[in-house]
Amino acid sequence: MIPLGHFLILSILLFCIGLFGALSRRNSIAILMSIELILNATVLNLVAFNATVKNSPSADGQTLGLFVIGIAAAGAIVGLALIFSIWRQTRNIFSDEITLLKG
Amino acid sequence: MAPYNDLDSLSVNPVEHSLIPLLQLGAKIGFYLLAGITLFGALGVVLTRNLFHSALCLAAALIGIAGVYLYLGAEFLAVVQVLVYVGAILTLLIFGIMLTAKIGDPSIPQLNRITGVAALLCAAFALALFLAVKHSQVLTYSFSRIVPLAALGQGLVTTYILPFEILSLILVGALVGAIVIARREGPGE
Amino acid sequence: MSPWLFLIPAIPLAGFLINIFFGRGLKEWSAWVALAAAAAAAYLSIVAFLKVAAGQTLAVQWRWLPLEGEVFRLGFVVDPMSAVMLLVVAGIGSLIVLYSVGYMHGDPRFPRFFAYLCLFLASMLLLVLADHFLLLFIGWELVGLCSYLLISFWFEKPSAASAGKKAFLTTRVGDAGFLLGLFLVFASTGVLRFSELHHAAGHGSPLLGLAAVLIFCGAAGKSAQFPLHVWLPDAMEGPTPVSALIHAATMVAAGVYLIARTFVLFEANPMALQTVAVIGTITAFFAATIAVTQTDIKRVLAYSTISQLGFMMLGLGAGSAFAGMFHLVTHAWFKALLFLGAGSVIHALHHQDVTRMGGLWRRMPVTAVTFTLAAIAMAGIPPFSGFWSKEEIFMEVAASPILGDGFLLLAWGISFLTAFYIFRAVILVFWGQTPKGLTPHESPPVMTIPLMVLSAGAVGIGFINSAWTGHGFQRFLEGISVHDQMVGHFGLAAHEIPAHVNLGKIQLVSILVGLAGIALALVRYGLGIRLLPRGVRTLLAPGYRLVAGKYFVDELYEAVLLKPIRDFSQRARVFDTQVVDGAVNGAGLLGLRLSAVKRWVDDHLVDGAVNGLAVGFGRAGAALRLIQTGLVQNYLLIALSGAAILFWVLR
Repeated sequence: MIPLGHFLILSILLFCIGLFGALSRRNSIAILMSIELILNATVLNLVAFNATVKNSPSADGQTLGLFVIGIAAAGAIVGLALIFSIWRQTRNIFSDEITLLKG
Repeated sequence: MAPYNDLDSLSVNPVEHSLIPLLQLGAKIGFYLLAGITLFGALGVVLTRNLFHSALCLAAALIGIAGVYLYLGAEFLAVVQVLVYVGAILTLLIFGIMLTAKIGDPSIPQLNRITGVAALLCAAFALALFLAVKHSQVLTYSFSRIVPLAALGQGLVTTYILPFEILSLILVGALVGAIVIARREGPGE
Repeated sequence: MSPWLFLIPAIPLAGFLINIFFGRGLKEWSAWVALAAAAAAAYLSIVAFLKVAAGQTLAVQWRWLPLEGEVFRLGFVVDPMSAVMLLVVAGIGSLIVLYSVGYMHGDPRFPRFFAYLCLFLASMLLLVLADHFLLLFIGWELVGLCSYLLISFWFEKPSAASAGKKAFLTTRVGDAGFLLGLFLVFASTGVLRFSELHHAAGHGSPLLGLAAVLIFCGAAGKSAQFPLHVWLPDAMEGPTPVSALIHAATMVAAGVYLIARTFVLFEANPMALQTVAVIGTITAFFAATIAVTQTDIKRVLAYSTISQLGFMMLGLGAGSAFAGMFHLVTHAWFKALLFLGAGSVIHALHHQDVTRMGGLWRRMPVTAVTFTLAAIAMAGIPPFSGFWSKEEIFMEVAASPILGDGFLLLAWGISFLTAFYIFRAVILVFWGQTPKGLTPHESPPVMTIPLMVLSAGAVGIGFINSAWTGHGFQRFLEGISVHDQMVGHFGLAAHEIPAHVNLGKIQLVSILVGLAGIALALVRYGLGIRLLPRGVRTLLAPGYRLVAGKYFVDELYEAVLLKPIRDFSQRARVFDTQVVDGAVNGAGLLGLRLSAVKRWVDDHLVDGAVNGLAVGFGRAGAALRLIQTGLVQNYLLIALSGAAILFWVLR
């Protein structure tokens, strides 16, 4: 029997690794990948709890997970498109050199 | 198939009695193996210098997670995971990498200046979440059942029909938006 | 349950909506819409009345608010009392709508008028049908609103506009009391439904007595009782059908109806009953004296209405809801008739001064005959309707254990004055010579038909409670009450009259005072004989001026309430212009001097400080600008740090 806690700890570690990546990678595409990791950690949490909740005949957690995957796909598409756009204009995809928002 | 649930059901069969501990042990080892693959993949994503290797590590992590889903009775989601992530998103990312980045140049630093603070913060987060999980009641819950695939499908066309339809709209919108954003500005360019 | 009851107010309401929204397109047809609505309501009222007369009590309730396990219900009920009121309101209302078709002909806001009339009918029927204090209060306020709208219907006239305002504000004073009484009832008994009031009020607690007095305040406001009567004479600025319907027959009687409805509260408290009786008597007597001196025909009728309402209150105060209600019914008929007759006269002459009228009976026979019939009814001459109801009140007063003999004498005095002033009006308007240069002619049939129908009622309605019909009305009001609505002491049945009350003597005296009043009016105005010697007249002149000035109640309010307020505002203004402005100006001058000094300080010290501050802010901004790096990951880091701090705090 694998206890629920282990799934949750896996999810936590995955989340924090993704977070670290999103915070510290310079390459925008790497940041995008890190965000995918974060989203996967979330889905893992949802699915784990769905298998846990007693006596509920629903598949709510998995359904939500499915939605998250769908949204993640949409996010990845748009994110990549933005990266392309910036790449074409500045020939640069390093996040710490893109400072258009500097005040 | 969710190995773990099947093992539970096996336990009522007296003939197979002697095999059960062995099988359960195997299942456990399988899980931790998958968890390890996932975590190492994830670390690879954030730490390797070569972006292409990062993408491959991401593939490993995603497949590992798909395997973990099997332990949770979510076969359908495991399949979707492999199809959508590994099949579609990852391919897209690899195309993106090849189209943009100068990969594999070791002279370019891959981590930014706030890396140290970020690492500390993430570690603190992990610790906090770990403590939260440790002290919470959910650990006493047990896994109960195989989630029937039919329930998932039924939910999608009844309770969740509206979010489902909206999701498809979002996907179309994202597609169109991505094309608009990434397209070349004008014919002359 | 009789869910169709809701149609009774709903149909006039529909008429209101149609007229208010489509009146412009309907033009003249709006009157017929209103008439159809009123007639439908009257028909349904008759149906309801017949069912009640057959022994049923009709009721319907709707869930309104679920309240802590208990459901708050509102509903309609038709028991004998509301059945009678329904007939009066819907019946007289329909006749007056018909009359208005002729009277309002050619008015630029013709459809609007009928819309208001419909709204009034709907609200009044709602008030009558309500089985619950709150619903009654809603209807109560709505009729107040309609009254306001209709009094100031010709709002181009400043007097009409201010009369509407006055009516609204004055009744509001009473309504405040009503609302307080309502709260008090709910706080002390927890019920607001009339049928439950009976059980709750069984033994009179002082608190409920106070509540009864407060409710009477509301009734006094609506029914124009002293000292809140001042609005009703001014309300005559409205169109005459409105005066007839609202300010004579129905709305002003709502106060009487309210007290009759909640009579259990009053019965349990002799103090409350005495208050009602005393206020009623004062009002009746003093309004009657004023009516004697007025020259505006509508004002004569207005004061007579106030007087008669006081009379009803006296009947209620004598402990008999029946006597008050009976007089309400008869009064509604003959007073509506008097007003419509007056309206017919005004329609023909275009002025309202009785001293400039005369000899109209030849020109306007229908109006003259019907008006005279109503006058006789009001004077209390048998067998006309007023006689029966007045006699009932006399008897109740005589038999009442809580009212002294003085009340009976005063009541007779009022009856005498009533007969006198109404025949004064009849003689001045219809007898003698037609003033020169006037060729009045009879009103069209659409106006005279209601007059004739009403006169039939004014003559005959009293028989419903004569000895020959076995006091049918009283038995009807008392007896049939399945709903336990008003099982109480409804007054003395004919056989219960105490030994010391001599029924025959009372009847005889009341007829005699009526005849005496008529006779005096005939002698004074018919024959033109001045009865008092000149010396006595000059002696009494100040008294006459006091009465003719309506006892200067308006002036008293002006002096005691309004003038002090105005004076105070004037003083406040003077204070404002002299002291405050002076202070401000002085401060301004002082400021000028000071500023010269300050300027130097400014230039040398403050500017330095300000500039220093600005530079400081600039530096701080530059420092803050560093945070705004444009690096998305830094923003994310900061946000996460915030989240981490939150975790730590909420741990």
